[in-house]
Amino acid sequence: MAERTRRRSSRRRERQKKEINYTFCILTLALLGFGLVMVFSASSGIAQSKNESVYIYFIKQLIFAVAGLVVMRGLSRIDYKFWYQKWVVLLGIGVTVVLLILVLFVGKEGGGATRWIGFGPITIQPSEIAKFTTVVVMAKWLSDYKGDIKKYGVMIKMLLPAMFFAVLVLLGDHLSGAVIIALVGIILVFAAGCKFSHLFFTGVAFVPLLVIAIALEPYRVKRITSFLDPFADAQGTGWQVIQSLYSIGSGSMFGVGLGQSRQKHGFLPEPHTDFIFSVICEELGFFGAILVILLFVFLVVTGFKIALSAPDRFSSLLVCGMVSLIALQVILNIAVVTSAMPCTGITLPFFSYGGSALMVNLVEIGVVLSVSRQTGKKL
Amino acid sequence: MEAQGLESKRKILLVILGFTVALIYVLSFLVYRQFIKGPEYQEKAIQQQTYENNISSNRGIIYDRNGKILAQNSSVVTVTANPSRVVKLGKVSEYAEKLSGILGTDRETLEKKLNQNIGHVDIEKKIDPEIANKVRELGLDGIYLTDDSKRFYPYGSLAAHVIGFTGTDNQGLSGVEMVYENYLKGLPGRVVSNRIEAGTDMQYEDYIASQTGYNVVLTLDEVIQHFVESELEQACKDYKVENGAACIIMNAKTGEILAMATYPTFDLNSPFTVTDEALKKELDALSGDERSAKRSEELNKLWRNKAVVDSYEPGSTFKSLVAAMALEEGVVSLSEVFNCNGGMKVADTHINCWKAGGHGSITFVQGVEGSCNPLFMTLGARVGAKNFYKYYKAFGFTEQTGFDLPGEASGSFHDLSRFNEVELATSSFGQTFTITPLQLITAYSALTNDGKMVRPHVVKEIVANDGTYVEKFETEVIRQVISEETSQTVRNILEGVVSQGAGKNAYIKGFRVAGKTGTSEKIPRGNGKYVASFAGFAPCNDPEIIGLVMLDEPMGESHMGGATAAPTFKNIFDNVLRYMNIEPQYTEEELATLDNTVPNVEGMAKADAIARFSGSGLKYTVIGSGTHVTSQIPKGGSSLPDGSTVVLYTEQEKAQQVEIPNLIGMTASEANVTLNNMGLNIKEANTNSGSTGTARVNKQTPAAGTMVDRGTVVEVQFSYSDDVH
Repeated sequence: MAERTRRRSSRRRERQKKEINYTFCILTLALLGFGLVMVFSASSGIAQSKNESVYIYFIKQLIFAVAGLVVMRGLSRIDYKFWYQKWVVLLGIGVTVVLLILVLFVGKEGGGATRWIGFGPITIQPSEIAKFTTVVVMAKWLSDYKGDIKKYGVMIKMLLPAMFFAVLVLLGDHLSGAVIIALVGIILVFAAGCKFSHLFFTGVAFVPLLVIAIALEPYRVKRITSFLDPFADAQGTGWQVIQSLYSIGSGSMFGVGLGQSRQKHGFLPEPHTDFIFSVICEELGFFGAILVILLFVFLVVTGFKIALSAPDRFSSLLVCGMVSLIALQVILNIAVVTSAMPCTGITLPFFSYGGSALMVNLVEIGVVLSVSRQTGKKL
Repeated sequence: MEAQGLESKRKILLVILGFTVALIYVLSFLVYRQFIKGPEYQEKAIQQQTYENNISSNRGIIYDRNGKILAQNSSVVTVTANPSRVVKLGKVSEYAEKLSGILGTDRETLEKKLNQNIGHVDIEKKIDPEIANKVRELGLDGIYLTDDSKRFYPYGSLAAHVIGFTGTDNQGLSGVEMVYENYLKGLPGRVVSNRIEAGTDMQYEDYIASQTGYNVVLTLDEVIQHFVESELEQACKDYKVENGAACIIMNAKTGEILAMATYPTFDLNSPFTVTDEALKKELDALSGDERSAKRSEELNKLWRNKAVVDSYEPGSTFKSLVAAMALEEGVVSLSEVFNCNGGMKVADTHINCWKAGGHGSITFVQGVEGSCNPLFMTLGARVGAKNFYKYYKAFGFTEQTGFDLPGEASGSFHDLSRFNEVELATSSFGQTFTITPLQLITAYSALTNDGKMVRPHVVKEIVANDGTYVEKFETEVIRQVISEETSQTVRNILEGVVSQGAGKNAYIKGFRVAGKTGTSEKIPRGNGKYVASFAGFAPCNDPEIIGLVMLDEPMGESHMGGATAAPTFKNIFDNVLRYMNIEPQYTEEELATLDNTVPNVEGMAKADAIARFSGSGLKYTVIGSGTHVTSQIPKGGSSLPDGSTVVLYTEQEKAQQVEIPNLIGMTASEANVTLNNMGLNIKEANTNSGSTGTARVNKQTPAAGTMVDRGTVVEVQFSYSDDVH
């Protein structure tokens, strides 16, 4: 008992000595600040056309950013082992599942699918929460399991929680969210040590399933064809992608200048959310786009460094999952706006307008920062 | 909790590698889209982001030769709206109500126009600025007023067929307006503006100003055109002309058209309005397609420039040219004697002279003066079919004149393979082929211009707004058709036609008018329909102007050119020659007939005295306020030229005296004006007629400086000098 008390107090002392990873924190703040500026610029067209104040989107996003930073700071001070506790994990699963099912019945329409639940003035997107929950659940599940993950059966078993959430999200017609959840599950299983060949052949086996999923909803087929040749149906399904490409093409090397985007005035759909990267390309050019990408690259690389020097298997997988979530969304978002993949609704972390996504992103950062306090410690 | 092993570190590095590969894939697309396809996307983006709004340019002004404005632009206003703004303000029905009250447009139509989600719609085009001001006073947000212009013709129907008119978009539809469209229209400007969907405020990006069109200066003279039109209208009434009339006045030396008129005419400011009452009734009786077909047929008829578009048989007016051919070919001499017994047998056909019983024994000159058909048939036969056609062609009758107005016809002639003796004979007196009035007057320019035929044209120059010349239309000689000598001979013969032949109704004292009448029977022959015409020029010795009057179907007492077209021609030329300040050259006989004997009215009551002057060719001035004429200057019994003034004094007051000015060196008209202005009268003494050149005063009595009573006659003597100005 005494020994346990001593160990706890010494650990507390160690934790208090340890600092967060400032590089990671500063990169986050830089992205967040940059994101706020771009939300302000990109939303001005939408605000004007709706006869609203041009500041309205910026202010709402700023409120969420400040709230998110408070939460982030709070979480960074909580020991990451908080997320390892059984009750926390179970509670997280429970809340997420309830929200995911609830959204099927009371969800708000948006972009051809129902993804939001309104709580008074606040709307939240359960799939964003599901992403976070998936990472926590998978980290615990993988780090607790004692069997040999190199066995195929074990690997499949390990994948189950992620697949469970992915299917739930898919029921809400949110294909992109489901894909991200599935991918982050696969990344974690792979990071936990499974054989690449096993994953690969399982993936191949799932191709027919993907085909069915697409065939069930005709609009997905259209999105895929519009990716192959967006100009084939310029006024219809290709419209969004074409407008995005026009924005990118208009930007050239240094862009038309901050705030000067013409495409955001009624041409670009969702200039302040899914297509905010197109506005960056148009206003700040390739230079601005590369700046954003580099900030994310540094953030992700720093994140993976934290994962590599994390104190234990759980924290390492936790950080790996959180960072992968961000990296996946960045890559998929840019792929969509440059028409490198079929068009689907993926937001750009820290940039796209949207309170719940921003909050979840900052929560993820908070968790990573909390782990970063204890890196380099040999156990 | 397990510590992580090296195995999982290697795996994490592999995950990073995976992300790197994905990032490179995405980056390659970004570079491809932004740089390789960038310019293409950018161009398309600009296309969809902007729209061009044309700013209409001001149309150039059309002037007459003296700078009088014949066609200009008046300011009008076009009302437009931004419907999506109006919808957003929720004022569709309010605006529709207010605007329909002012514009008189149907309320529902306006509501439909305003109630849509677009950024721009035309509410009403080209409205009066006063009405527009009422709209402006309402200050409606989302309703805009744009300055626009509309063509305006200050003289209404004057020279309507030459000037032409424009359509709703100010585009030239006929006449000079159409032919010179490219010069007149100017360059429209453009406003390139942001197209911001959902109708938010626009920011102008680029403005390219419009360029005003070039101004066109016509060769027409508004005053002459006016003389011509009023005489033509009078002629059509007097001689009951059924099928319209045309007249051309051309500068004999340059081919400039000074006037070109067609009757009936129409108002250029409302060319689509039918004004003829009878026609209106006829149209009202019809309906639907039939009505609109009839209406457009009638309007097209009204818009026809008869002088250029209609061809007719010239009749005797053509004989002048046949005489020229014969003289040029040397197949006749002026004194050769012919015998006309009222007709002539050509091949197996007997062709009558117009004069029943014939002209008897006549010289060539007398035959032309009498317009003897057998004479001309003989001349035609002597010239021969081949040569006849050669001259016909040389005079320009087989082709268009190259005139600048649209729709020019070129007439029709016999098929050459069937141009035999009979056809040659009838052609020789101007029948059995058709030409246009413009072709005839052009051919006459060969007579007036020493054999050189000039191209008729109605545009003098094209001038930019800053005064620089864009294009100048100089005199263009088409070709030398006959020799200078022949042309002079024919001119002198034609003067005889007017002074003592069939054209005497065109005679004007002192102006040496020459010309030829023409009467041709319309086809089918025998229906009693004729074209009466007169073609002539003056002064004969050095022609300044050529004129042609053509009356289509005169149905009054006479259908003869000599009785209808010739007097009309005379009235026009009388006005025009005096207006142009062409010096009269009186012959002695003319001078003798010029004078009027002054009546003796001294002691008469004022009203009785005045009555004595009516119809006398003299004018009078009454000085003082008495009831009886106490004295007069000049005294009764003295003789004065036409238009002189007799001063009548009604009170015992001293006659007003004036000092006689120095007239030496003045021309006749200068001297006349100077004396008239001072209340003095002029009398020309022993003028040496037949001389050429300008007459100038070389002697006057009383001498300059003498004090005389007003009304006194000053006698002047002229000498001729050859100093042509």
